[in-house]
Amino acid sequence: MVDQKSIFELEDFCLKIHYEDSIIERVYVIDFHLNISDKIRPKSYDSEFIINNLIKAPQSTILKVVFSESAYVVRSEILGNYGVLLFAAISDRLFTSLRHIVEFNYSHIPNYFIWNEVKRDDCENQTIKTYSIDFSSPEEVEYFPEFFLKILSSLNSVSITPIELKLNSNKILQRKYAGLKILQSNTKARRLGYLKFIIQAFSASNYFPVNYFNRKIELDIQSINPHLLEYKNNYNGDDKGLVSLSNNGISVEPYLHLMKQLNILTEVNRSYILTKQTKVFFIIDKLYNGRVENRNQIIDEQKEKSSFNVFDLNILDRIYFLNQILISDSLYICSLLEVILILYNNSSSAGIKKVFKEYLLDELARISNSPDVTLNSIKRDVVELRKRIQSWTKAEVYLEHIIEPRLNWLLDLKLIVQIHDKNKKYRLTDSGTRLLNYLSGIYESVGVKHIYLPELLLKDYFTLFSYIYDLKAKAIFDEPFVLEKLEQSFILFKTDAPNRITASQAINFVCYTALIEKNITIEFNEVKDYLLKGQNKEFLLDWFHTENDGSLSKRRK
Amino acid sequence: MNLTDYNLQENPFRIGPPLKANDIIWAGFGTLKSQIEQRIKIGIQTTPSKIILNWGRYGSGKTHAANYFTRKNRIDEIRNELGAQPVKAIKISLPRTGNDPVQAFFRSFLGQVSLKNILNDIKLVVDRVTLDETINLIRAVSSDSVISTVFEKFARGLNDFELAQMEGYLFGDTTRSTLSKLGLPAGLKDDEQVVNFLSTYINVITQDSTPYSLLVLWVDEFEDIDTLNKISQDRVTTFLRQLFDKSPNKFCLFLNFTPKTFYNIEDLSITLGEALSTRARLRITFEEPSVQEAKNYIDELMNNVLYRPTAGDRFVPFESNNVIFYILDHIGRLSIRKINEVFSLLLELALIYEKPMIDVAFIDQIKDELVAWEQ
Repeated sequence: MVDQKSIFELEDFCLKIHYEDSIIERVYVIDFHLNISDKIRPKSYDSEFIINNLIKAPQSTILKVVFSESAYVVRSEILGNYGVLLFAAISDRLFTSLRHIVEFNYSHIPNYFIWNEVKRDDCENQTIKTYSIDFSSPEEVEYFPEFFLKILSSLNSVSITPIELKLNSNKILQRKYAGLKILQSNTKARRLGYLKFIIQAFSASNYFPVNYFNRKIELDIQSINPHLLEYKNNYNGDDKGLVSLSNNGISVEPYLHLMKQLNILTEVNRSYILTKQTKVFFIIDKLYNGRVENRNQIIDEQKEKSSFNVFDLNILDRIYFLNQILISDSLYICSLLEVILILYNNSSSAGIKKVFKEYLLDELARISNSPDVTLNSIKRDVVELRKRIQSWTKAEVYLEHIIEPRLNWLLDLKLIVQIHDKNKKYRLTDSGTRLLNYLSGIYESVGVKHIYLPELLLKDYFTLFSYIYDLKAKAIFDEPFVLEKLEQSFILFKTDAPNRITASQAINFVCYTALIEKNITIEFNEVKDYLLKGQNKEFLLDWFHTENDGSLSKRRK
Repeated sequence: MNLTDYNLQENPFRIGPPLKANDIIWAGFGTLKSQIEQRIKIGIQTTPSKIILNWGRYGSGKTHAANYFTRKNRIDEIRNELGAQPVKAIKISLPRTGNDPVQAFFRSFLGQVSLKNILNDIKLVVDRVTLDETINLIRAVSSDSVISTVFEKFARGLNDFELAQMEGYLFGDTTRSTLSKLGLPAGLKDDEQVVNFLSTYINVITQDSTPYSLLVLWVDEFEDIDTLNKISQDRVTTFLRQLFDKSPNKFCLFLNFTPKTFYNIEDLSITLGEALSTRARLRITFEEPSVQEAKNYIDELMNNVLYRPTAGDRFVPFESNNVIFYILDHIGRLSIRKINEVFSLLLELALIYEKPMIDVAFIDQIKDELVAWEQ
């Protein structure tokens, strides 16, 4: 072990060891929360001495160890529209450490925290990123020395590369806070392909009476059920979540409930209609006759031969469903992805359910304790949600309604795969890892992971999507294309209102088709700002802040 | 200095609706006025009922149009020109209370068409076709025995005591004593009964276009349906649909909409959509005025005999028409409300600064006071 500089402080009952490794530019701080009868005044001892003597000293008992590791952000590179932190990626170290701890004790993921400090050093501002992990149970405390030795040697990295994001300040983001979003899910609603099928049913009518729809759609759905098994066998999918035929439409009800939660369907005059946001998906799907492929993707020879499978989500499906899920369910989905990453060898459904409740509680505490979170409504929501989650009795049973559906949605979205060895385990795909890179980047920049996602995705979503699924789309604001698609929107999204369409439909239509037809990324906020500036001669945008949407009309010539 | 120095009796750019019906005037916007009047003329001269959707942004004049055509005697002038019988015109703002929107609607209606009016109208029918015929007619159109009984009582006439009782009944009094005194089995609680009441009234008084050739119902602030909960929203749209269904003749329903968008749906036509999808939907757009149209509006407004009884230079108190154009070019997107606010303030400021006329120099001097000013 290289000789390192170590500094000791003894404060109240906490022994702090500050330990620097100048070669790889990492700083470790270990807080031993001690219960000591005699005060020990150490001078400079090296780590082995500390570990062997201090920890094992009979005069002291250790209540908790808080381990933290800091790194200097040295350089970053731009990847597409993103800057990628290549060096001193603290999220990677964090998750790597967590994974190792969990290998030792897989029934508990310890609490952790990430924060930034800016140090002014030789006229230059340097950002220091730090993560900390709590070793709080007696077994974990005892395990700590072994862990620390591992940390000093190299561990197998989990390969998370956080994306450095240019984000607005926390103050601005907090103003857009829209609540801690959670979907009420049911274990039966597992296949996103069914949602697609139900949406497509609206080709036959704009609306369906609520009393009638369940039974009708259940009957129609029977025609695609044979695809389920094929989806499992040939598409790396799964066949769970079948909608069987009942005599009162109850089998499809969990899916309809989910669709209402996701704001895909809504009720008007006791009939189901598609929401305005779903209409964009619906109309593009119809334009392509349900067969959308990204031009740059290599067409799978096998897939070309067999007829397409409705459960195998194409690019359009994924653009739509991933967005709806991320903005409606960010807490659970993001936490689930992280847990899968951390548990690794133990990431079976049972393994996940063992740790999930605690992980959620820690995650909520992290939000509350973040120095960047000052808004009272956020803290209040956190307190309420924590209470609810705390009160889950028999969490592992209840979690079936949370974990099982989401594992399957992530599978359908190709963000995770199933590994079939002794137990069925889940692993992140490259796409899933890249999504976590983005989320880690948010965490490292603004101290919270997902509460601002709806706002952030308005400026990032299509770039993120291209990054996740490796589409290599270029960011080009193709003005003629934009104008052409806006013009087309006036026909596709027409309602009874004269010379007026809903802005979000037109804008999303531009963004979706830009990615699908031309493999270029144009973001929602870009189009909105372009229209608001009013310099274009064709269209006029009225924006309503309270609805976060607007009215688009054509200028009178 | 005061307004008479500008050859004006009052500030013509009022910001709220006038108190006296006769003070409601129509300035400029000739095409829009003709469109609305055309709808009314067709309503008077043809039988089938119509729904007309008025679309316009905030401040585009929809409420003013509703007031103009229901409170002032303009419709009366039109029907006289056509040699037709009188038209009944009523304006109602969509109720914002959540609990019982249909009852609120009904009360608003009764507030404008009092029980006395209803009785008079029924009496006109009786005078024309005899009591027995009237009763037959009532039974034929009401499809509701309670409503039928109520209207038969109207036809036979009510004394003062019964009148008071009946008023109580219509406003929700369903105590046993009231019911027994009126000889009625139940109160008006049901949404559908309210529909039956209104549709019976409409059908009876417009039968054969006499005594009324048309009933116009103008519903304002329809976008406020968004403030109601879902169940109430459904009740309102169902109510309107049923009312329209049961009044297939001589009924003109105007609905004022803004193009606002909502949480999960594009606009209000979706809310109404299925309720009205099989019925003819006509549209009138309250467009944003062009600069020229705005100038015409200002010109006609200022020089209306109500504000300028003695004719004079039309552009006064402005130095010239160019000054008016100058202002209109610098206040961004035009709406009638914005124009009224800007010009009203300009007049007031000119009086404060004791300007004999408003010129570009003065405007540049005080333009920071004008919130809408865009350089």
